[in-house]
Amino acid sequence: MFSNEALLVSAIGQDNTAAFEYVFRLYYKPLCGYASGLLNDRDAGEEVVQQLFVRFWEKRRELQLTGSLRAYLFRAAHNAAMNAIKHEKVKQAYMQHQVHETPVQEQPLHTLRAKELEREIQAAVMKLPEQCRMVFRLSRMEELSYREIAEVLGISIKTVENQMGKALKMMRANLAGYLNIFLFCFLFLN
Amino acid sequence: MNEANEHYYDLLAKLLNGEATAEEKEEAATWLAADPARQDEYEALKKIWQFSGTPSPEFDTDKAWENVRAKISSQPKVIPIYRRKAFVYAAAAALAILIAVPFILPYLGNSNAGNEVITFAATTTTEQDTLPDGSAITLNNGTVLTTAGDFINGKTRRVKLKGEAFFNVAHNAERPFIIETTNEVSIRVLGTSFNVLADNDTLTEITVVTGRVRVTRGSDSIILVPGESGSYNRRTGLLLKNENISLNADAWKTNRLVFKDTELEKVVEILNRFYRTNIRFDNEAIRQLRFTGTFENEPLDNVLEVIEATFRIRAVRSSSQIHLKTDTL
Repeated sequence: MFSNEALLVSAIGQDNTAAFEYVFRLYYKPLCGYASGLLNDRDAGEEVVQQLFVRFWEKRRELQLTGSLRAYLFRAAHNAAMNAIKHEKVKQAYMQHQVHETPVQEQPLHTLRAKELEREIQAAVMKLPEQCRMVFRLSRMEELSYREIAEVLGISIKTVENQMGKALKMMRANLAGYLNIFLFCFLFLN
Repeated sequence: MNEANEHYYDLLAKLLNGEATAEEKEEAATWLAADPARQDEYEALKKIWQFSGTPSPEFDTDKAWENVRAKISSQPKVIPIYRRKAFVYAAAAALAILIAVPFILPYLGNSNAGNEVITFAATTTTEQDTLPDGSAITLNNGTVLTTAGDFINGKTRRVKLKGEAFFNVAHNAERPFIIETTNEVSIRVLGTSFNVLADNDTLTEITVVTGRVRVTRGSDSIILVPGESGSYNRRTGLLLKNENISLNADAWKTNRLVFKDTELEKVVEILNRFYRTNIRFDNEAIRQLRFTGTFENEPLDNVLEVIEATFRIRAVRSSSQIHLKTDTL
């Protein structure tokens, strides 16, 4: 809600734990959502984000933000999660998921509901190439702007545009069958 | 669509993301209008868009905060830099007093101890300070806070605020802490509390982090608990409590409206506020529909169009109102 995040950062820099708590409560869930998604592990995601906030507090006095606080925190979560992936155990779970194909089950028309389309879409997201998936997740799940996504991933805004278009195109191809059935059903649901 | 049209996927993605410029919107519109199949394709992408915006799974923020708080408070205390500078400040203060004394002395006789009005102002940077009662304040730049004459010994602790500030109010059940804003909104802090307040000529916003506050404007009053926020908008005259408002708190400035799995009822409440219009529901059932989407610099007509297409409902205009009703096939 703050037009000027400098106020929050400045208060934290001056040891204001309440301001720190405010930032924590504002960003904890979305950061966990993103980190857990990258790690494909809920607990590992929470762990990463909690550590991130402890470090954030430790470094509060030398903190210099160039972009938005949100982009800063997502970038920190992104880097921390990618570091964690390097650890063997998590890496294995991640790799396994990469090759794991979600079995597509034939559904009778009348049971196909929005929830299922949502699930299919989630499965399609997992099939996207890595950078595409990160861009898509940051945009759709965490609602970051193109500029913020570019900041988080250290890529150009142009690349974000391309990856977004690519993600949509691939998902469209992946979901072709489901979408047609769904759009057809949708006419009768309401 | 074929391979050569990759550019258009980037374009449609920008459109859906609210990142398209006016020219790009026009380009997309022309391109879509040229072929009904393209419009169908766009509808399909819109569905993917809409259904991929699922909120993050639930995480226990309270529990996580306890963990993090335990870790940060068990760290060895670092002596803050400003304390080491105390000598410098002391010297400067002594000097200032020495110089100021000749001017102050004539007024001392008139001053009524404890009844002075204290003004805190942050001009170019944010400032942190402590009020006489021990409450901590952080002021954003351009913010002015004034204590009432009887702040120290009156029945209440009253301050006037113009701008944006955090309050970490020292608990004193006997003497409630009351913040008055330029919009004549009064915020009464009930218990120890940390609150965030932003106030300008049109809008007063309050977010509560801990404790409880009662917000009053005229005869309207709401109570806010941690995590909740409320706002008073001078343009609409409405005092509202709404989690969704905080997401769109600065929409008046950014022209950007963000909805994330928001009930249509709330969406309409926000649209009515933002566009100063009067949208009504003709069918109760559609109030509960959940909408996700972002609009930037969009006229109301475009917003309604998207909502109509998303839920297959219709917005029907009468002279002074817009009625939302289910689209009977």
